[in-house]
Amino acid sequence: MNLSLHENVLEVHGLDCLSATNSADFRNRVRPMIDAQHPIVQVDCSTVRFIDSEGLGALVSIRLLHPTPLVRKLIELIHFDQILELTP
Amino acid sequence: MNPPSSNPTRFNYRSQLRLEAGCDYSAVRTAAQTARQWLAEKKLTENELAELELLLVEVGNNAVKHATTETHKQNIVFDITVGEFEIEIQVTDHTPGFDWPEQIDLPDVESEHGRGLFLIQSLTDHANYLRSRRENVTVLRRRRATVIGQPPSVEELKRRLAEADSALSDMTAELSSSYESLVALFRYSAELGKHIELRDFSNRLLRDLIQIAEADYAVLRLASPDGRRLETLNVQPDTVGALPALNLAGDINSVETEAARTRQDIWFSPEEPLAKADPIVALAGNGCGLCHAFSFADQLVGTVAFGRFATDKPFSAAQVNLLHTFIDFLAIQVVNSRLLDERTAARVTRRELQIAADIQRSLLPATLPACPPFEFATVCQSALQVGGDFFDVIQTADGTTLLVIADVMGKGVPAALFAAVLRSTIRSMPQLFSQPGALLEAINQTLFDDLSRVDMFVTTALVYLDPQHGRLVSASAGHCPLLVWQPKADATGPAGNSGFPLGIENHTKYPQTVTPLPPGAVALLYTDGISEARNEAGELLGDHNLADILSDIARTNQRAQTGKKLLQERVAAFSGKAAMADDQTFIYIRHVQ
Repeated sequence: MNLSLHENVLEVHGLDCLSATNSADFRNRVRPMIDAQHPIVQVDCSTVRFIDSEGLGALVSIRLLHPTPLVRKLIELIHFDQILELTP
Repeated sequence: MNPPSSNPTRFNYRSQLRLEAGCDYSAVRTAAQTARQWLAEKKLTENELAELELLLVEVGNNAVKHATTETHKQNIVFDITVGEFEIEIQVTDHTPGFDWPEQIDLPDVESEHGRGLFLIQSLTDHANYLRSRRENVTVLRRRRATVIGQPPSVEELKRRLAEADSALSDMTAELSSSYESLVALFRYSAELGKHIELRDFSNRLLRDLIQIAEADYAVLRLASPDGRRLETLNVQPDTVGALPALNLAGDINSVETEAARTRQDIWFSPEEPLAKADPIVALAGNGCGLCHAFSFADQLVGTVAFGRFATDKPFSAAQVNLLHTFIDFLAIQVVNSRLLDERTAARVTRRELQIAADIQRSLLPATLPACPPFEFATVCQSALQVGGDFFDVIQTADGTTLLVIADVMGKGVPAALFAAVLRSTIRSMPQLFSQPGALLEAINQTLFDDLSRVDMFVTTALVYLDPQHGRLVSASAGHCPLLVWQPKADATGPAGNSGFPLGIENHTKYPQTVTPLPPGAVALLYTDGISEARNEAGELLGDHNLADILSDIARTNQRAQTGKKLLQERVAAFSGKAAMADDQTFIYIRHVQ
């Protein structure tokens, strides 16, 4: 998982999976970066091959980029599309 | 992390894979990936593969989350079976487990946890969670996606036919091994709703369950109707011993009262031993087992405890599931049996009321004797099936006529019986008919002991018709006054004073009143059901209004039969649609002109 900053946007790339195995790591690294200067977080989901309920929980209040069909289906199933912005 | 071990086993009709993973998130994830690779060979779609991998992870993670201590961190076992049309996943863990909710809802959208069960439910066609003390099995099934493509070749069809054939014989073999449980299930379901003797039924059920679940003993208790006690219905085998009832509010610390109070399965084993005072210790020592409380419509029905003498053999998840299923049958039978008892009791009560009504009817005179120049007409209407009102018209051989009206306190069989006793007592004293005061005194003395013993009393009024002198001789024991309309005065008023009701005071005197009843005059004997009739607004008719109504009717100089009918109509008109609250009885007496 790589983090980069572009102006006021924090971008997360290179996520292979987001699950119980790494959701704590994801939270610990991404959450502290969200502040007044970087209110927007974008997660590039094009590389996410696996996500589970813990991984979904870690995504609260984050913008998702290029979700794969599975990620999109699960996001919609648990009504996260109401609070998450999905960018194709 | 324990590396997952894979022991793929091939059956003829289906493919099966068993994987074991250590009880941590990474091992679960690795096992799910291994399973996915294996599943990929089964021609599943990419979507199916992704969702099955997720299901395995979610179920496995649930086990990891509930493994609270090191002893619970035994390997998680994944059994995956791929059939022609369905995929089954069984995940066995050895954690304390959790309560699978009846309804699985999504948490608040901002919540970061609590979506795993929802995903499991959404991505499967069937999800079941079998829970026992040291082993939980999650069973998931989902139908396979239909892949539209080239029609299968003849060889492929032949192969599938052979597989199906083989599947059938394998399934038959499996069924035979469950034969005992199945036969018992069918037998008990056939008995549902039938009238059964509960003790016999539970005897058979417990014996069968002991055998099927390999238990050593069982204790069945039912909650008392007030829900305060657990009464022992059955202990199997009966050689084990007997058990006294348990007070649910009491301080005896037992698995049965705990299960009843919490409505949860309570387990016991050497690690979580029974309390010393637990009745099961005295019965079967300190083995292992569980106590299950069963309810119907949220009402506790009872508890059943199953145990083994051996300390190291807890019941498996499948056995516990089986016990629950059978105990559900028992709960239904207990409720059925109780409903049946209540119905029988209601039938007995109805029959008793019928008997009382028959008694009451038999007390009333079938025909009214003539006593010129007086004529009379009577009404006796019960508010309920059986009331406490009765009247009598007794004529002796010499033409002496006595009118009796009475209201026995209470209703039903006791009131009817006392009315019968009163009637016989009066009839046995014809020599006193012309002295109603003395007659009441004698009746009171005769009946006082019987009435006071059951705390009952009777109000009654007696009227002796004296045709020779054109007058009435009356006396009252706490009854409504005799109303008399005199034509000369064109006014209705009460005649005479009253003494205590019968059964209140042993040696009481009853004043006797002589009232002239000249031609055209009318008298009325009635019970308080008439004067206390209420209208829709809840207002009482009252003695005053009743006297006015009597004046109105008497003034028209009608025959007694007509006068009776008019009086009934006026009282009914006053009541309107208000229900009749009490019996209404009266005797309309007139001196024919």
